[in-house]
Parts: sequence; C-alpha cells; structure tokens
Amino acid sequence: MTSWSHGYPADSPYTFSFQAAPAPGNLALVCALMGVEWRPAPRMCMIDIGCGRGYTANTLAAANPDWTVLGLDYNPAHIAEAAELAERAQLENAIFIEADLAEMSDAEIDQLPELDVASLHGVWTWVSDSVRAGIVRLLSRRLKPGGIVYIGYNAQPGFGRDMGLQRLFRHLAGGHAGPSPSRAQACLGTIRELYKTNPRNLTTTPLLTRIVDETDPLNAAYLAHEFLTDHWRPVFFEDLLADLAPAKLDFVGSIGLHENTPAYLFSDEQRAIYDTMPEGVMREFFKDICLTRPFRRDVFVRGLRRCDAAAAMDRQIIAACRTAPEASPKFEVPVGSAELPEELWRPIAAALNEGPQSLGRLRSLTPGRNPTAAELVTVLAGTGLALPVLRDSGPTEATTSFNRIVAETYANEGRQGGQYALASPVAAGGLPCSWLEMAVAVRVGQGQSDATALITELLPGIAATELDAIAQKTAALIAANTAIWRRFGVI
Amino acid sequence: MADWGHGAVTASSYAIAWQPEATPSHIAMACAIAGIGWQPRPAMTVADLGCGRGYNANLLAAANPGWTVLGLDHEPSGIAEARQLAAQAGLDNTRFIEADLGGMGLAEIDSLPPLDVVIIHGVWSWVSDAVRAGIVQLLARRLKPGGVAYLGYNALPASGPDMALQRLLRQLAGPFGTGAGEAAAAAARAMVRLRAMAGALKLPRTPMLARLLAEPAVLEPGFVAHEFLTAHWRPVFQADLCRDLDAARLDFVGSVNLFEALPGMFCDGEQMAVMRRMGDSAGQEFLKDLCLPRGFRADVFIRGARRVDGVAALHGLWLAQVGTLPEESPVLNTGASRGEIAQPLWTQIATMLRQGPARLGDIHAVLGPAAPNPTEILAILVSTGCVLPLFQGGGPQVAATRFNIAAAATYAPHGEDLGEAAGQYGLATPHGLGGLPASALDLAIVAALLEGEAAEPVALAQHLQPRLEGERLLMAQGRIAARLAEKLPAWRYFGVV
Repeated sequence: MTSWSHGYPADSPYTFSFQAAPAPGNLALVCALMGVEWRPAPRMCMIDIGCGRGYTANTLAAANPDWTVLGLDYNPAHIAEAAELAERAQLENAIFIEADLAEMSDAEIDQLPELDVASLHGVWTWVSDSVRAGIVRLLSRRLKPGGIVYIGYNAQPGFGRDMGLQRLFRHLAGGHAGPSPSRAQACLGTIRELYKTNPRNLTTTPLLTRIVDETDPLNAAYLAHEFLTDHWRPVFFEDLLADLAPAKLDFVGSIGLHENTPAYLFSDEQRAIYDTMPEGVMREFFKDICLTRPFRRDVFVRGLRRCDAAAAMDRQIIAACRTAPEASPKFEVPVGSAELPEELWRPIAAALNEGPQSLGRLRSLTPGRNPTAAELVTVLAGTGLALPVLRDSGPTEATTSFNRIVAETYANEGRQGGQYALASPVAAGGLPCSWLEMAVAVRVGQGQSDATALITELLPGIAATELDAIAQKTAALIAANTAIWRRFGVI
Repeated sequence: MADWGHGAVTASSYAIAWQPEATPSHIAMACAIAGIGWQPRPAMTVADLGCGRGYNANLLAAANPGWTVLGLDHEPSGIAEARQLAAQAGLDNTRFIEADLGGMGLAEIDSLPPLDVVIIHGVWSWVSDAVRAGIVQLLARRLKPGGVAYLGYNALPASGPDMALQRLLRQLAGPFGTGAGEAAAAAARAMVRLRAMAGALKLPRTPMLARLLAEPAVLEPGFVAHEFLTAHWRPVFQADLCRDLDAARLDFVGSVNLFEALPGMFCDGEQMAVMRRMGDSAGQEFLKDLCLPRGFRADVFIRGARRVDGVAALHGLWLAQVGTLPEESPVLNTGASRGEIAQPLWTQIATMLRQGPARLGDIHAVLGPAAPNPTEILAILVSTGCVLPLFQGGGPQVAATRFNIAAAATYAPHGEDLGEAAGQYGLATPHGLGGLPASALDLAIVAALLEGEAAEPVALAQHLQPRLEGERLLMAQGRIAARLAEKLPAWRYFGVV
C-alpha cells in the first residue's frame, strides 16, 4: 500500500461505473418531492469529490456543455485516465484535479470555482478523519448558498453489521503479498472456512452470504476497495449531519424516492411511533433502525427554502427509458410493493410511450382518481422505467463522440461487469445501459442497422453457432430502443 | 449537559464496583502468562484514570502502604467522596485530582509523578476523541519505561449491535440538564419509551436490550445514564486501540481474561487453523473477538515488553483460596465453550489448597503427567473465583484495617440490612496487594471482627443489627454463619483479619 493514499488501496483502479444519483435531474426530483426549492440552472459548476476513473463526471460534462464539471481524486492513475478520456472526447468543460483533501490548504481550495452541485459517492465512510475534515472545508468554502450536495455512504446500523467482516478481511489480507485485489481474493477461502464454524460475532448479512457463495464470485477489485481500506467505518446519519455543520448543510431527503414516503416503509405499529417523533434526525434514525439499510444516499442543501411540493412535482418532466409495459411495474418496498391499478396505469403508459411528460399531466390523465406524485415517481423512477429529463435536444457533438469513445475503449471491461450509461443531453446525464447496448446504440447512431453485420464487427470471435441467436436479440433491441435513444438525444 | 463533562453524563453517581482484574496483582498474572517480565514492586506509583468515587484507588492504597495511588476524574462529586473516604481511613498515600483529561495542559500532565501502573477502566469507549488524546498524552509523558497499563473498554464486533440501541436511548431521552438526577430521570424516561416501542422495532436482541426491557427492572436509571446517554460512546476494535496507544509506545501483553491466552479453550479446530494463519497478534486478538460473546474487553499493555521465561514466572505464583472450594471441578464458561479440569485432578488441587496457599508450580507438579498447562490451571482457578494470587504472608496491617473499617462504616453500616449479595465491594488485602471481592454484609462482618467482635454468628448479628429479633434474627445469624464458613479462611490467608 502506498503511503500517499492514506490507507486506501491505490494499486488497483476502481470499477468503471456510472452513478446515476448525482445527476441534477435526480436531485431536482428529490427536492421537489420534499418541497424544497432547488432547480438546475442553465450554467452550473459541479464537482465530483472522489471521482474515481471519472466516468460519471465525464458523462455529465458531455451531456451538459454549458456546465463545468470538476472531478477530484487522490489517485493519479484515476485522474490521468479521466483526463485522457475527456481530452479524447474533446470535453473542455470536464476538469480533473489530483488532490489530497487532507492536505489541501484553504488557499488551494479557494482556487476552485464556486460550486452549485457537489457529489460524494462512496467516499465519506472510506476516508480518514483528516480527509473528512478537508471535504467539509471544501464544502464550507466553495459551495454556493443554495447549492446542493449528494452524499452516498455506508450507514449505521445497517452496514454496521458488516464491520466485523471488514476487519476479518483486513487481518487476513495482511498475511498475503501482492496487489490488493489478489490479496482480497486470497482471503475468501479462509472466510468461507471460518463461516462454517459459525463464529459468534460474524453476523450473517447479505454481503457475507454473497461472499461465501462460491457460485457467484464478487469482483476482486470491488472487494479490495470495499474492504482493504484502513479507514472504512459506517456512520450514523446524525454524526454525518453534525460533521457537515460548518458547511451549513440542511437535509433534504433520500435519493431512493420511496424512502421519503413513510407509507412505504413502516408497519402500522412503527408508523404510529414515527408520527410521534419530531422531523429531522430522530425520524431519519428511526428509518435506519427499521429499514436496516446498509447504504444511505442523502441530498443536502446549503440554506433550505421550502416550496409547494405539489406544484414543484407537477412541473417535473420524465421520460420512459424502456417501452412502458402493459401492466404497472411493481416496486418492492419494505411493506409490500408500490404499483398502480390497471385503470390508472393504462393511460399513463400510453402517454409515456409517446414521449416525455410532466408529472402534472400524467397525474391528470385519470379524472376522479389521480395517483399521488409520490406514488407515480416511486413506480416510474424507482423501477428505473423513467428518468427525469431537463431539456429537449438531439444528439450533440459532445455526446456522440463521448459515447463512441467509451464504447470503443471500455467494451472489454464491460464484459466483466461495470455499469454503463449513454450520455444524454435530454436527461442532462446518462441513460443506463449494458456495454453491448451502448456499442449497438453507437453503431445505430452511425447509420448501421443490420444486426448480423453489427454483431460480427463487435464480437469478431463469436462462434457461428451463436451468431444467429445474438443477432436476433440485437435486432429486437434495435427495434425496441431506437425510438428511446432518439427520445433521449443519444442518436 | 454540563460542558465540562465533554458530553459525558455528570451529576449521577456510579455504583461502587470493585474490579479485581483492574489491579497490579492481576496484571502480574497476565504478564506471567504472556511471558513478559513485570511484577508489582513494594514502592510504586499507580494512577486510576476515571477513578469515579475512588473506592478502588483507596483500596489499593490501603492494601499497599508503599505505593502512591493517584485517582483522576472529571466529576467533582466523585473526587470529593474519594477524598473523604481516604481521610476516614487515614490514608496518606492517595491523591485525588479533579482533572479534565481532554483539556490538561502539558505542564499539568508533567506535574504528575512518573507512573508504574495506569488503570483506565470503562473510560476509553465513553469519551471524546479529545479525552482519548489526553489519555495517550498522559501515558506517553508519564508512564515509566517498563510501566504497565490496564484498559477496559467496549469492544467490536461484539458490542456493535448495541450501537443503535445506544443512539435510540439518547434520542428517546431527549435533552437534559446538569442538575442532580436529571440524567437519571432522562434515562428513566427513555427506558419507559423504549419499553413501549421495542416490540415494533427490529432491534438486535442483545443481552443489554434484554436487561433494559426486563420486568421488573434490573437496571438503575443512573447506570443506564452513565452507560448510554453519553455523547461519545462508541465501542472500538482492539487493533484500533493498539494503534492509538502506539503513540505512548505501549505493547499489547494480553487480555485480563486469562483463558484467552489459550485460544484452544474456546476455538474449534477450524478456527484454530485460521488463528495460525493470522500473521500477528492483532489478527489473533481479532479472531478471538469474533468468536467470544464478550462486548467488554480488558487488556494489559506495557511500555517496552521484555521477554522472560513465562513458565518460571507462572510456577512462582502463590495462590490461596478465596472461598470454600467446591467438591466438583468448577466450570469456566468462556462464552463459547466450557473449560474444566478433570475431576480427579481437581480433587488433588482442592485438597492442596484447602491446606493452605500453594505455588502454582507445586500444584502443577503434584498433578503429574496428566497435568494441564499451568496457564489453563491458573485461568480456571482465577476466573471461577476459587483463588487469588498471594504475594506475602503475615497478619493484618494497619492501613488495610482502617480502610476496611471505614469502608464498612460508609457503605455498609448495618451490613446493608444483612442482604446476602448486595453490593460489589472489595476488602483491602495487604497480602494480595489488592482486594477480595466482598458483599456489603462481608464488609460489615470484617469491620466487626477488626473492632474486636468474636467470629461467632450470634455476637455478630447482635453487633450489626441489635434490634432484630425472632425469626429475622435467626435468619441473620444463619446468613452470617454461612459467610464466616465460606470466607473466614480466605480473610485470614490474605491478611484481612
């Protein structure tokens, strides 16, 4: 382990993945739902703190030519890769900075532009106290009044149940040499053996179950980043909020939309208790003990201003990123599932298949019985059927060249997992997809429409026996998605 | 909440609880087992950081007139009580200091004498980072080379499941002030609210939760306030504590749970295979923490470990019985297993100890080739409360006698109504360099004996509670007779009476 990394494994790149949460359209939706005033501006400055390999930051820069997107990371390999990708795609509005937040002076911090949006995904619970202090200094000095922050982190008590498992990894990995992913991998056998002996304090969590399951191995680089860090510790929401106090941040709500709606979360008994609790820290803590969620994805604003939630929600525009199905999608929530009855769903599905719609219009399609905005977004956005959209646009030079370069460069990584997204000027962010979908969309955008020819080019080594089946699937994908790619300005 | 408390709960007194493991004599056993050279000396300076009401510090001072014992605490009421007991016992080798470990300047720290032993029980996992840093600084600047430290703390992962419970209690207690009893009232409020909602929540069913919900109540609100309403309570991994103590150059010696030095006593074959794969002591201690149910760890550290022949150190320990030894081999519950000595061997050990104090080496030798490892014998005998180490012989000494009389007068004037198990006190024992665990009734009986009363139930009952009569008098005499039969030999071996 290298010392400049402050105990974080720097010898392997983080997985290449797109994080949808910090896209400003999502943040706007959470704010509207919670009745908090915030709207994306035509010109904004965003920062991704702990940007990793910069895929999310570059995607947002490609999708929003008028925004400046900064990516900060301590790892020079990450920054070099992110900057190279930006350069190849000619994204002049993506700026990547190698920075050690623990050691950045106030003067250095003040050289950054003033920020409208900050994103911290998977950073806070992995770094030392001094890095945390640096983050808070940065936010307190550079986030504009009214600026918005997304923080995704491991929460107590949900992830606390895995604290023993993480330490077990670290102790075992100490006995192995080599790069951190292979050290993480080397621990797995011992952990499986030990698990069978049922040690008193090794709690059986979903993560542990996943780790001891040999049929579906976890990615070793992911394990290394998750577990071989010196500072990993999940936090209670109240402690995070207290630490953020110098940046004057107020809590808005959760990126997981349904988590903002008590009706989806609690049994009747729990709800009765919840209703007696004051808003704020206590209610959030109550959710954390009832839901035992390992991750929290929270939105904060510097200076909270209330607005009319119903009116704000009705203004939000969303678009379907798949063909809307015949029956209402179901979203599993802690107490049952969220879905819409058939008579409400049918006109909504039809409208979504026509194009982007405001939530206000979707709610008014069934006079006499309107779904609530919370129901609607949980069913539509919670299931991933629809995304918020911010503008009407065709493909831009930036998105076209960026999507092409990502498809060409990262196809191989995609085959081993990774989360991809097509940069979309309409969504002002990314349209989630698989690597193959991305490659196909790029080719279709270049005018190619023959599935067999396309697959032969993309997968040159494919066996003749498999070619037909895959070509058929690809043809179906092209038929179903071409309209959607157009809707999102991807092609 | 009082600012000077740094978020710790103030104005609610801790119950007195004698901690036999938090003593130099117990530390000496842990060092011997680890093969590390350390023994209590006739003249030493001992500090108890977070001494509370000072009972334990006063007891150590009384048992060891050659030592100087310092007690530090942030709470003035505790310091005042400690000074009062010291004065009543006529102790001139104690010093109680009201101090804020989070805000002590270097000059203030350096005004303390160099320390041979530092005891820090139930502090580390309850205090702010600033207080922790103050403790490390104090250790770094004042603990002598070769000095030892005891730290008792809540450990992860076993106490992890209580972290949410603690936060919940704090939320339910709401804000409270610094006045006397306010914290306890807040804790009582939180306990009522917890009881009302626990059924609806998916809280981990930890032993602490069970105690909080028990009907009728088993926990005093004052205890719950101290345990849970502090702003800083957070259990720690042992490795993190070791890392923090690095700055004071402390090396880990071992757990005060003596059996933990023999992981084979509580780990199965596969677990032992993993234990051998752990590259260092931190990994091995972690594996123990993964396998044992204890949420509280107490560890011994030394500033500059010197390896010695551990077997010789162990064999040289004198042991004496602290109560009537059972006929059946006593069982040590490790939490994950049961440790016991084979019955025929136990019979030999008990026979030997009933005749008087014996060296562990001699006990081991008598058992012949079937003898368990001396560490195992010692761990089982000590952890089941059968024996304590004995460092010298002779009769009672004046300081210990005065302390035992003063402690009884203060805390058990009437034998606490002659209850059997009330209170967790200690009797100063010059020959054990520490204390024998004692109930309030034990304290009162010992004080009466020291004041010249005969070791005889009728006279003692009359002395302690002159107004009792009839059936209640007979019951009291019966209880006193039972305590004398159980404890009197030990009180004599250890120089209490």
